[in-house]
Amino acid sequence: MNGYVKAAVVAALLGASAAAGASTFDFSYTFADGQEVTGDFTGTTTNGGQSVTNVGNIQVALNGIAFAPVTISGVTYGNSTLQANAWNPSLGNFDDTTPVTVYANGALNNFIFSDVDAATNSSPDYEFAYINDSTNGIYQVVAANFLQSDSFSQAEGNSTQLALDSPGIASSWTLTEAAPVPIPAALWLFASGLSFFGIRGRRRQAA
Amino acid sequence: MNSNFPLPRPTKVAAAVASVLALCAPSAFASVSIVQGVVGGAYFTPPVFADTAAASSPSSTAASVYAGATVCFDLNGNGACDPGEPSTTTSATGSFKLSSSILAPLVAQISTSATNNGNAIASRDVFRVNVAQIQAATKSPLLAATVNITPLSTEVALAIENQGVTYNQAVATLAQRIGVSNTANLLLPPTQITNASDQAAVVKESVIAQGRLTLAAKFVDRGDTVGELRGNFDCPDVASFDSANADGCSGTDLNTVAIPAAQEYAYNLEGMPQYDYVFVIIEENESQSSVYGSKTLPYINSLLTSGNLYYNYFSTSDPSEPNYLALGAADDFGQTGDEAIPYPSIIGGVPNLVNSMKAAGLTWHSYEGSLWPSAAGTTANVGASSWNTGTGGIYFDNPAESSITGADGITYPGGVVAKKHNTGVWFADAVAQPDYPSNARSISGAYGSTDVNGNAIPYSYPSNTNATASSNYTAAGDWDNALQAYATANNITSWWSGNTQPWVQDQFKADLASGNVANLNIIVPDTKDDMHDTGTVPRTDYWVENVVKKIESSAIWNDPTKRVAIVITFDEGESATTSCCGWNPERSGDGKAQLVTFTANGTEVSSQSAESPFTEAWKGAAGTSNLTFTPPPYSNGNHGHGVTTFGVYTNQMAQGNAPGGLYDTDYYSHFSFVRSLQDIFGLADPGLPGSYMNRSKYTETFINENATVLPEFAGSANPHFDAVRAMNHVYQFPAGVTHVTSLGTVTPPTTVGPDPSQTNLWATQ
Repeated sequence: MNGYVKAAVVAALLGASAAAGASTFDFSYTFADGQEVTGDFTGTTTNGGQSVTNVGNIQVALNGIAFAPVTISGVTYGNSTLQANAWNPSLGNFDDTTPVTVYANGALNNFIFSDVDAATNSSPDYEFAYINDSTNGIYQVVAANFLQSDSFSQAEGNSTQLALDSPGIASSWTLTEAAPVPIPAALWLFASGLSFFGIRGRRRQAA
Repeated sequence: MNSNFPLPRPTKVAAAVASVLALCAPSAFASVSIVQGVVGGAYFTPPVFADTAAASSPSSTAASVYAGATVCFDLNGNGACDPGEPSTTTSATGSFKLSSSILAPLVAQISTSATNNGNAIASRDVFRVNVAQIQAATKSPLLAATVNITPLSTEVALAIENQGVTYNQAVATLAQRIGVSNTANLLLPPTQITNASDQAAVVKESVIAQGRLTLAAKFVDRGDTVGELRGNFDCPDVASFDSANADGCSGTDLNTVAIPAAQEYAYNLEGMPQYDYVFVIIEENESQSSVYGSKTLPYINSLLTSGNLYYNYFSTSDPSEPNYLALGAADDFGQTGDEAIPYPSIIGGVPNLVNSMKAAGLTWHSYEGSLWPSAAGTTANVGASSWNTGTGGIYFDNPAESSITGADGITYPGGVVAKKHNTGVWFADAVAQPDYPSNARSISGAYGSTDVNGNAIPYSYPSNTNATASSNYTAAGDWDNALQAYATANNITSWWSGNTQPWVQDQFKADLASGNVANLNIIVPDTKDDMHDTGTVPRTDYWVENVVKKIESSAIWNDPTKRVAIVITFDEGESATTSCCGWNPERSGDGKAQLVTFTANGTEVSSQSAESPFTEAWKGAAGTSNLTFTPPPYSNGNHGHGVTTFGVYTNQMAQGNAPGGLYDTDYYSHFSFVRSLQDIFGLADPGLPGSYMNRSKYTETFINENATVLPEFAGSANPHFDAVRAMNHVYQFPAGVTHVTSLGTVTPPTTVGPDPSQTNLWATQ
């Protein structure tokens, strides 16, 4: 499946939930060297279902290792809460004021997920940035877990907790709405409905 | 640890990191750093030196990448990738990517298990990147900065660390110095530079830098001390053999160094700063007392007084030949006369400056007065069979002088162009190099010559050969302009029949204008202009003035980023049969030469009484080779011919803050000068005596360590006087010690104790 078709499919999936309000979205990015970032966040679809705003509840993992605090010798490092910042091409930096929008089309993304306010703090413990800045000529996808990366394996050219594509590869990006999580009341109503139709059917059969 | 240092992040090997961070310098920065780039440089194939042209080949260079190199964030600033520091290994294309929770310098450790363009690496290198380069490439610390690690990034780092300049200043200066037009190209891996001129400049500088950086890694691996690296090789051992003349060991002299300091020392070998261009003007046959203060040589004296002067600079022998051998290879090879004619008579791969420059990726030119001019050089200058024979060589050695009888018994006519004054002409493997003809070039002269039509060329300046009175002085001028005027007036476009090479009258001036002068330029006037035939007459002074002013008006001299030095010296002193700084059998009863063999690390392992042939192991850049000198008349070498003049004048004095008007009363000789040039151009390893040419390796330490097999030195009354050292002014005469100055006829102002200034006369600031 080529990138354009894939993006269109993703957009259709996002569009299908446009009327559903805040939803959970799964994302992934597979780097050229095979490393992978996965995660999810909550948000609201916009732009005809092609993007998501109001991003929150962010979870990210690089190569299966979550961006999460680490405790060593009784000292905990890292922040359990991840936040999103938008890249502002005019500033050439991340800022706090531009709304964060995550696009189904990876070539439109300009955001970072990290455990700090990236507009003011350049020392995150982990980050996932996806930048397409034609103004400054910056096209990168970066995933780094600094809590894990101070000692890399000696694998050729790759560090286990650093992944880079420069430029990013839009076709390696997926963004999909997660399947809605059933709530107990809904499950009861659903079961009741099934029972109603089942009883009714049985009665019709008996009649 | 500095209290402001960021807290270490937990890692898989947290304990190791903690140990590294415990050594951290306070220069770390509170931001993460993500970098990607290439470890690149140059792959240099050195020339093949052989005694025949057929077996010789030139060098070649290629832009290259290093695969399998270890790249790390150097958290503790020691120039090494320590356990626990974020590190990775470069790919087959030399690429890497790396992140750190702490911004720190980058280091690329290129071990012998790495490859350079797929080729094995003989000796490890370490390249570095200063944090300022990372910061300059960083759009946001949270995004990846493209930072390449190259020899030139290391030179930029060294400039920032040691010269107090900013990153932008360091980049601009280096780009201008090496001729890179687009500064954006300077720190690219050469494989990514698309501008051919810029790529060539970066590749050439990479070769030069890689040689220095390899040395630096050796310094660290060997545990060299600060004392050794600042040029005081005697410090660690001096107390054991010469306490009376002990060089002082300062507080840090016995400390070993890490890569950053070692790399700084590698650009100041034995305390000798790197120069880009050195012009050596060699005059003839005048002792220091005849030159210094001479009324007939006002211009030369102005250079000696505005520049710096060595008061005890000894020539090697008499006549000229042993001296030019010494100036070309730091040895007289036992010659006491003109035995080596016809040239090239030194065979068998004897180390010499010409080949050493080429082996390091550097260039040399000789500029000989009255050599017929040609932009492409003088091909006919090369063929030994054509020299002095009247069949072509006549054009190059004008038979206007007395004849010379060679060792073969044949009488050769002399000439205005004395070929033996070319310091490279003696060495068969230098002459056999394909580019030798184009490197042997012309400079002002043509006295007494005939043109292509057989007409005598009138010399434009009065001969005044015996003029000493001021009334006989004539105006200085440009020899070449006069000859050009003659050629134009007589419609001469070629200087000899059948010549097909383009004619450039003033090749030296043309080279200065184009920047195509060599790194090392040996300038020898013809025998009418070098004081040989005329003595210290004004015309010889004008000739020097003419040459020096051309240099002073050149772009390279006036470019503050380039280091340019002019040396004025003489082949011999004519005052006495005295010498210093090298084996001097006259002082020890004509002892036989000794066979001394070195291991690869330069230590002596065996010796024996040397009868013919004399074989000596020499460890050079290309490895160990055995050199055979036949016959070995060392007992007749280094007769000495007294103290002569040696002055240094640099654009660092003329344009910058380098001091002038200083003097050095330590003892030096032609051997010392060659050793100094080897340091200036990075041609030898100070800790490896065998890498120095022949006698220039005879430092005090060497003599001390080999005293039992060097009886001449063992019997020396003053090992310091007999030893060879770089002309670095490191040695400080102890208070109350009287210098051995009676050999010179011009007494320096200070003859007891230290000199008023111990500044290196080659200092650049």
